Amino acid sequence: MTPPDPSRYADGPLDPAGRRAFAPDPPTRADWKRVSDGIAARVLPKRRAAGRGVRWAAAGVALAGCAAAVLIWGGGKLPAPRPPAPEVVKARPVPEADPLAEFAVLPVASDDELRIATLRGDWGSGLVVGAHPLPGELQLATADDVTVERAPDGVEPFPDDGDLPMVLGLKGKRSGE
Amino acid sequence: MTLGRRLLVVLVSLAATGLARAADDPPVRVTVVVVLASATHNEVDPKLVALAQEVQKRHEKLTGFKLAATLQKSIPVGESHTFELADGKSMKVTIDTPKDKAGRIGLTLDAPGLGEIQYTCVCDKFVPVITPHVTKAGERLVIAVLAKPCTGK
Repeated sequence: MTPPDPSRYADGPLDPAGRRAFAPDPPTRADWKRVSDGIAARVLPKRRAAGRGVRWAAAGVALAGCAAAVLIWGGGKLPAPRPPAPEVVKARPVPEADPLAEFAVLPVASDDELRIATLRGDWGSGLVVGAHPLPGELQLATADDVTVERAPDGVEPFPDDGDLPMVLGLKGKRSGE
Repeated sequence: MTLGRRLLVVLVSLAATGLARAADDPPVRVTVVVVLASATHNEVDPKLVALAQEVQKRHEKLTGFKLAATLQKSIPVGESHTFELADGKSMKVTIDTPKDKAGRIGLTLDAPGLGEIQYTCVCDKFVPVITPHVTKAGERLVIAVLAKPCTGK
């Protein structure tokens, strides 16, 4: 803090009561900082030292508590020594179970229980159960059975006799033409 | 997030969902019974009584039925396995679809001498197939296939 000018005590104006008016200069930022630093230098080290002491004491109490809990939990006994490793014996191979053991008689699917979606090859005598997708001979549609809605140019059903099997193709053209 | 990154996140999520669904389907345990049928004797294995009756509806001359082998394999849905049957013959089995709501599993068999058959069947029944293959001893190769989901039991 800047000390007041002593001459102001002697030469300053008088107030109505006959006393000299005196107003000291307000403290500057530097003044406040110097005061604040002085307080910190004297007070904070003591607080930090006190805080460290409290923390160390709490840690010690916690460790002591844990040790006491371990001793109480374990009945105050030391851990027992490990037993010797068991003797390793080679296992005998287990015979494979019979996959058909659950069946006295193998159950065979009925025609209703088997749905055939695709057959490729000659399965004429191979199927035992299930309906063949193509039973018997091919039954061909006749011209009366079919109505052509749209077809490429020249393609039409022939022959157009309603009783004969019908073929869709280019009418009047033979292969190789 | 840019549009490209959002699209990438969506695609990765969809792929992960698809993998999870595929993983949800348990593998199918396929049992293949190899039977040798003969017209020279009348002995029928007790387990094959029902199968013999069905086969004889179409092949009256086959009177003897002997259990030659039983093969079993757990096959994931969408995958295949080739079973070695007998007399050098093999059969490829593909699991097409898992067990559906009706309790049917979809399979494709590539049977020796016959070709492919694609079908769905209930899980607890065997599907018999008579192959045209005849062994040197004059026995006809007959196959019975059962497929059921693996339950871990």
